[in-house]
Amino acid sequence: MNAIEANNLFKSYRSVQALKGVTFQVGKGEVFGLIGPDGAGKTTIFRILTTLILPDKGSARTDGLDIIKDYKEIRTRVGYMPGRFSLYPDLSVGENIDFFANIFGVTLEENYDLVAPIFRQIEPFRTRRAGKLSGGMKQKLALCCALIHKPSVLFLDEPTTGVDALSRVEFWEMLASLKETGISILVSTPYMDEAARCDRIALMCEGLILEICPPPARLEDYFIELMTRNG
Amino acid sequence: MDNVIEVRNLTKRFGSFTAVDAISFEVPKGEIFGFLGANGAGKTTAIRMLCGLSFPTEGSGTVAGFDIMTQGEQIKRHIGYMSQRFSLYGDLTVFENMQLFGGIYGMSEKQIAARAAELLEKVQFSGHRNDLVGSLPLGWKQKLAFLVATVHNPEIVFLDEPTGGVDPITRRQFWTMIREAASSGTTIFVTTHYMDEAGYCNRVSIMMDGRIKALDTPSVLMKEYKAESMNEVFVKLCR
Amino acid sequence: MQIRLSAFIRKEMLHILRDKRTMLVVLVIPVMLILLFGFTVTTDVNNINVAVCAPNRCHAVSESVNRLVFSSYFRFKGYVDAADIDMTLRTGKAAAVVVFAADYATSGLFQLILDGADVNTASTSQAYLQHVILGEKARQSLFEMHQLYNPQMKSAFNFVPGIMGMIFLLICAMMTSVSIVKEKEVGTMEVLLVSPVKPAYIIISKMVPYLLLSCIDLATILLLARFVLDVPLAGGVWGIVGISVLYLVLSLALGMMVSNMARSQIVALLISAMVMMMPVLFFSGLMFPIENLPWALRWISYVIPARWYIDAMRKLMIEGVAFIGVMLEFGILLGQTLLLIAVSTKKFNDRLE
Repeated sequence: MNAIEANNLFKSYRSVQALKGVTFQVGKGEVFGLIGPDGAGKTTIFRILTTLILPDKGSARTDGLDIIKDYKEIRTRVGYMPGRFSLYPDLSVGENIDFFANIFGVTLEENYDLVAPIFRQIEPFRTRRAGKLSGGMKQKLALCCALIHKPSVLFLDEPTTGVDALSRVEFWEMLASLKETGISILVSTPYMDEAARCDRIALMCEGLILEICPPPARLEDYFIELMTRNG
Repeated sequence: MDNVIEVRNLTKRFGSFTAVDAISFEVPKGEIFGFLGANGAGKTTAIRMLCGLSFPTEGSGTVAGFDIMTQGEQIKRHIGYMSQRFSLYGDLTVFENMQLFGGIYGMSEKQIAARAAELLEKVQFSGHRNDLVGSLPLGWKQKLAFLVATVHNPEIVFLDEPTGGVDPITRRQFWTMIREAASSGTTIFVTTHYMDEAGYCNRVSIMMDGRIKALDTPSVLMKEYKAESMNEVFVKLCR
Repeated sequence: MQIRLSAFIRKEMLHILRDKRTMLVVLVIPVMLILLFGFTVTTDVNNINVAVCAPNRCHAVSESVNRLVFSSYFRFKGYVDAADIDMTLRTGKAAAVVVFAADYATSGLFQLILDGADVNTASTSQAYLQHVILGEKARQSLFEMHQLYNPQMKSAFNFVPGIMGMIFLLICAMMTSVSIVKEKEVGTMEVLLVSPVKPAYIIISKMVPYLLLSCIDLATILLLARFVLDVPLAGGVWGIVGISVLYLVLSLALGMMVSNMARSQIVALLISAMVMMMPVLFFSGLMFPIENLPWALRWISYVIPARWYIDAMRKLMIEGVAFIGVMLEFGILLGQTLLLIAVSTKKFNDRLE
């Protein structure tokens, strides 16, 4: 069984066609990257697969469950980090973690093994307000909150945008060790150099997937060539 | 050589916290200068001082020939600024945006019209002069934002993460525009998180904890840190 | 482990407690409004400038004028000639001119000329002037006027229920809608929705802290009304508190409705301030008596909750009607509250569209 199956997804917002027929599969334990510029439709895919919005056409399964019929069950099984920093800046690091643990009915201690490597890095700032953390730390806290209920599929929408190069490298190292635990990860990024860290990538542009492949060498040149070929 | 930016021991403290700690450097005319650093390293604070938006606690310097301590207003007239967060007014047309920013810098209507025609011609965008900026694709918005930042022929343009989220083709076009502007004598001061873009700069400085840890051409830095890419240089330096 | 509602409420409380400025505004504005309306914005007659025109200044005239001079309601601005009456009113030197007939001593005839630009003041000062000038004779007149429930004719009394109706709606509806929409804007709502949390938890946790906050406001207002403005609160405090809390819950539910419609904090603010405040101002009897509205507008006023609340509060606080006397208002408010809660829970979208 695949972790994610998207079949011919279409979605329009008023006059904008965000998705024009998107199909892909993510295997269990795979790190799958959606690579493309802003407006390519990456966020729309995330929102459909996490049951936040409904597709106009097409079907999809997350963790083997139908995104329309079984949306309540899916919500207990996925971890989601939306594009923007989506924690409470006026709550402290500890308060954020406790709150997100509570909404899944778990405690930090229950799944400590999974989040420990990340949690140890932010633990020194436990009493600091989340809004006062540096970009890299915020992102680690958000990842920690998204993992707290031990999800089987992790959705990361542009987790590294606006974060400095070092924090980005560290973030991808964390994802690599998460992969070891068997979790499936769908991640999007506008940074071409990060694509190399994925098992497979989908190159996206204007609501279409141009190609699905293992990350090629000289990705940017390859992407440009694809874009020119597709007009 | 003619230096457009020259700073000595520039320092900014907020209470007991030193955001920028005695940095010194100069940028010659027409250079593309990459200003890199981790989040919270003090880049934004340093740029604010260079743009005349905040006073240094200590140190001295000139930007476009004006003293950053006493001539902040003149500095503002001679620089251009573009950031990813704020680029252009989406509810105004391309030309209206240029009119606005040209007007802010005291250009006459005639000068603005001529300059706008020239700039739009250069990027083959004259046909979209009266389009609403909000209706344009992101890539074009970013390119136009750069043109608008240079509408008054500034001596220096500050670009704060100008290419965030744009597609690779636009990114290359954007850098072509930057190089053209630099070769015609405009100095470019740019921050970015894309390390491959750092490779396009003439010289690069890397800030950490308020200090400049490294400053040289990308190729020298890569040799010095035995790295294959600027990304590696950055990670090795900051870790 | 179970999802704990208390943890949700605690988080909302932390948001409020850490936003000191907003909290201050919420707690101070009601006090300011009550005191402002109570002391300054008043239709009571006080120190009205009055001039007198008397061709024949006989003993009877000067006796009447004396009563004017010594009355605290009026300020005597001197005698004017008949030709100058118009000018005196026009220039605002006086708001009223009393013209005594030449044979006033025998006929008792006099005329009042009033500046009608301010209708309220004009009509009240007319009554007061008659009273003062006639003096003893007023008591012998054929009819007698008695104003019940508000013997000193204090207009502040009437404003207090009106302001309560307005403030609670503002605080509850505006604050809850803004705080929900804020989560949509920041993106935290996305994370909440992609979790097994029941919408009811989100709704209740948003309502409870603001309910507590507005209960503090309620207590402040009632204390101010009773001990500073001397409003009698004769109908019993528990009835007043009971209906007020019901109205608070209703306002919170309205805030939920607004948050379903609005996508940004600005829109939420505008909807609660304009779309909800305007009807309260016009149709709740706060500004104009409902009886004076055309029938179509009067019908609209029947669906405005504030109208029933303010009515009930007037009865309980000023007229001293017992709780049993406002059962109709209570019933209507209860019905509206249940309906709003049902609709806003049903409409609460557990997706993003």
